[in-house]
Amino acid sequence: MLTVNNLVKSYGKLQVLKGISFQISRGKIYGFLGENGAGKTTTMSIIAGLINYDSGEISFNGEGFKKNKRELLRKIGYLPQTPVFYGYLSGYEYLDFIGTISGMPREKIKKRSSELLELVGVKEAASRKIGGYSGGMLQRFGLAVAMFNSPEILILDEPTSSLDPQGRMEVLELIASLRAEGVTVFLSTHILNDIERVCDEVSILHEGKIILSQRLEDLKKDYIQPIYDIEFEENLGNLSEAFKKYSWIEAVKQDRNSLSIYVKDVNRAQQELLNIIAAFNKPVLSFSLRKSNLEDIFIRLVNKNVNI
Amino acid sequence: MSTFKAYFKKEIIEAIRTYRYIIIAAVLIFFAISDPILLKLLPSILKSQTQMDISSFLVINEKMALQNYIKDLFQLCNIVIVLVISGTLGKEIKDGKLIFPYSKGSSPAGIVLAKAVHYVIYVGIITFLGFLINYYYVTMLFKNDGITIIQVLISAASLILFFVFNILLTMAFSCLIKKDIAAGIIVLFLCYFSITLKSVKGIYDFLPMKLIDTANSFSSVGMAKPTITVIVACIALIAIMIYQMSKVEVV
Repeated sequence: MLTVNNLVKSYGKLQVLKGISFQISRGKIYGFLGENGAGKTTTMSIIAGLINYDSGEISFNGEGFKKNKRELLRKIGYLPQTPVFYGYLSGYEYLDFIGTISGMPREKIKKRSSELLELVGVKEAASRKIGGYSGGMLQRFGLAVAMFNSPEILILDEPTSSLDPQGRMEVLELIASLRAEGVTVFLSTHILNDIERVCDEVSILHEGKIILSQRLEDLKKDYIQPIYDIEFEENLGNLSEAFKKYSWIEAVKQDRNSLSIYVKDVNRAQQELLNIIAAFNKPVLSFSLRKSNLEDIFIRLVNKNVNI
Repeated sequence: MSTFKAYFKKEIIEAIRTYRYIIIAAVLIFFAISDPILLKLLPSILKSQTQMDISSFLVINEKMALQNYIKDLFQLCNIVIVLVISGTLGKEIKDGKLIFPYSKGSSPAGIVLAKAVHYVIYVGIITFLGFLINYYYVTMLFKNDGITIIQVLISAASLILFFVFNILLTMAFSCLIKKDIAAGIIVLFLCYFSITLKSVKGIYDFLPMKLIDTANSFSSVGMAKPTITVIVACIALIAIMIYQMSKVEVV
């Protein structure tokens, strides 16, 4: 549906995007991960038609972005990280403004406004001026604006960042429900748990390059790694060194009195690890098996240290 | 067209709710009413201050009273109009208010034209109204010099053309430098600096500033050259703004 090929963008001498490529299929929720300054917002702003790019190709349903930009933008909805509105307009007036820009007839604007304001939970405040909305209300109202033209693809830049836990859950449920309606969602967030909850595919952007692009299930299969967390009663000194001689142990992270042991072979770990620990003769407070989550995978990949 | 329609309506709401209409109208109408009254009272005021009757030296006729209003429009109302309009494009770009409209495929030409047409129409109407109110009070308070309402309307048209040029120049600077007050100050500097070119006859006749002279003369003589300049300059300024708005990165 959306294909980005070798996209390059520079600000002066600083190359923000260094030839990124990815594809988003229809009806999928595509997560975009990256540290601050990795280029996520730049990528999203380019696809939303807000900024230009130096080179590369973007196509939407097979149509080139450069030639058909204005037409294609009518099929795209974009929610920026910090949505800004005309504060002196009411919610209804702003949606009327957006609907008119999108070329929608008056009756359809009214109907769509009512539906969406209900959906995002801002209907009661819709007659009030937007300048008086709270941060969370602005984010929800922004979502309504982004969805107003019934876009085929919805680009959401950190949509849950300023919401409380309840609001976050509601927005995530809303995003998940869009999948059933066939809407494609391109979502960036710092909250990795959000990606794990709703996304089908994920890309990790690091220093202007995509270092990984995979289905979330495959990603977990490929990168998931069991970790044993052991907490001791006393300081461990240089104990971590003693684990390095075992070939089935990939890495050991040691805190003052705790160890995190990353294992390659779970079966051998189950058979041997307790015996090894018992041999140290140090009192153990807790022993647990943790499965690495997306956050661990993300940190490992961006730190270029796939072993830890 | 859909962008023009949406923005034109939005500009009207904005001008009402941010008091722009009131500010511009208040200044133009205030001087239209107060100027003739103050001029009429001036001899009495001076007499009470100096204890001398100078009414025989200070003869103010209809023409002088009307010219006094034109002077105030140029010196004071022009500043208010420029400063009120100075943030119209630059501030929207800088504040990120164009993100949603641009992401919905709005047309830069529609935005520029809606804003320009809106302010040109409003300032035009208020200026005409100001001249008519001023003429009403002047004819009521001062001896008739034979200046007809048609002559006053020609004078108003000269002033409106001058304001139209300044509105578009302000919008263009606002769009280019994205700093509202700075754009206003640059335009006002250029505007008042161009008076110094009065001695350069060949050039001055083509400058928009010449329209102030034609307004003061209550005739259309000499109006053609600056009018051509204003029309050409306005088309060029609109083209520059549309180009700039198509290239601008609104994030």
